[in-house]
Amino acid sequence: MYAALLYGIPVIVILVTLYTGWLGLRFYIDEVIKAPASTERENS
Amino acid sequence: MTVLDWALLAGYFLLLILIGVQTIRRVQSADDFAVAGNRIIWPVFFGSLAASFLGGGASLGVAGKTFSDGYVYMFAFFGYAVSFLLIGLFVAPRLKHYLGAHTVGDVMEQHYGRAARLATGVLSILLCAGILGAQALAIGTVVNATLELPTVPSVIVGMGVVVLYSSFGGAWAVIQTDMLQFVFLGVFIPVTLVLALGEVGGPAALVAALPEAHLTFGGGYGVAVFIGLFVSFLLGETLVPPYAQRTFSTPDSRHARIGFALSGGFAFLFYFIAASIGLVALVLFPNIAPDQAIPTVVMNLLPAGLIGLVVAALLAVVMSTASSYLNSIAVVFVKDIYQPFINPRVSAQKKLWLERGLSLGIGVVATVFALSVPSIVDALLYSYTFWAPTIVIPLLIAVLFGSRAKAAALSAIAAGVVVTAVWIIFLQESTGLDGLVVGAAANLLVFAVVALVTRSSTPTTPATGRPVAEEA
Repeated sequence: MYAALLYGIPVIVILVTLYTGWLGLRFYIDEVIKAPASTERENS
Repeated sequence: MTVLDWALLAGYFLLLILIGVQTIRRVQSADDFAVAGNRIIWPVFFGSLAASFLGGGASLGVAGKTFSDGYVYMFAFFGYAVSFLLIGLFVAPRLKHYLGAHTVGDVMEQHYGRAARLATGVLSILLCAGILGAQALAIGTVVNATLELPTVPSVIVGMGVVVLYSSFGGAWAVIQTDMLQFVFLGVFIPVTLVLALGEVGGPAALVAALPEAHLTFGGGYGVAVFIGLFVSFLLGETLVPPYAQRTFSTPDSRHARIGFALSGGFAFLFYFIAASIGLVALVLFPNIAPDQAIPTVVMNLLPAGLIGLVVAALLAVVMSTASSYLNSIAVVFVKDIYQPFINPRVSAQKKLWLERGLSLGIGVVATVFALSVPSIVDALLYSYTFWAPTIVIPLLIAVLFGSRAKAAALSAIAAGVVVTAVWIIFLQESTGLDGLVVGAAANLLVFAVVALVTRSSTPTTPATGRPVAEEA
């Protein structure tokens, strides 16, 4: 049981992190790289 | 450290600076600087919040204390994760009902008036300064232990990068760099544990080499000590300014609830990993200082190439926390003190530049403060004493039950400060009971008594239950 925790928890954490990181990257591309600045949005 | 390690570490810093530069153009107003225009969806909220609160205490601190005391310290530290889970499920969604709010002071003023905003603002700044200082110190600990560079210049360089991207990119830069740091700490700290387990001979060899008490729930702690620690972690950082501010940055209650609660669940797993690295360090390097547990494992057990990434992950742990607290100090000062009490007519543009200037100035002051604080976790616990026994209970009562008992809230804040200070100075050492716990109990008691007394002496409107004068 302890062995399962010692190896299983790191694997779960890595998978959750990578999936969240992927969603975060898509958000970053949409909101920071592609999106216009706030003033440009307000003017449009 | 090989050339490859240095290159990867340099790449991490370049990415932070790149994100800082790319986010500058998104910051056109105080709303952008404080809450990223309320556009932060739940995965980003979850990752950035987790990166913020998994700081030096959660990594170096948990590993070090587990090294010396066993898993019992991790179980006490779970108080922190429980707090995040509960706040995420029940409180965070309600915070989104306060339209336009940036700070805890915004919520407190709506319920308890301007004096409560001022008290909340002052206490927010004290708490954030303490934790910011502790994280700055942790930057020095990581760099000194892994790269063998002297502490003072390490803290200055590490904090320099944090101060630059926080000052110019505001919440946008802090949140996006937090996401990068989340990926680093969420991937490379677990990888470190798996590789270290291989070096120690696997889980069975680890268990065989450890003192039995290190693996038990109670360890060597007495019940009072365990409960005191658990409660202090449970309340210690409940809705502290950066976490409340991050919650306000979400678009709605659903995003706030999911992101906040997920970060609590993630914390349980991360603490287990950090604690287990501490135990591996105890078996392989029993004579090191506890705070050096993780850095020692990284430098001695990991292969070339991975060391640079894990050092970056360790720096990510502390830098993400530092940037969040730094951003909050600037926002809280302007929103809760400068604008309402010093210059109510401050223009939106001046407010933004004031927040940027403050981030720069406070970063410098915090770096100086950090170099005079002896221990990471002690510093964290010290700064807790300013928050939990004063603001947390009136804030929760306001958000959950809509209380507007001004006299009760202000009396409770004052009582919390006095009782905590007196207990710490005269009774904490002899009783072994944390002043934070006693102060929080006094805070709750005074709030309840004063609310009851003032309620019975104040005529109210039957329909709303609010005081007649307030209704008029």
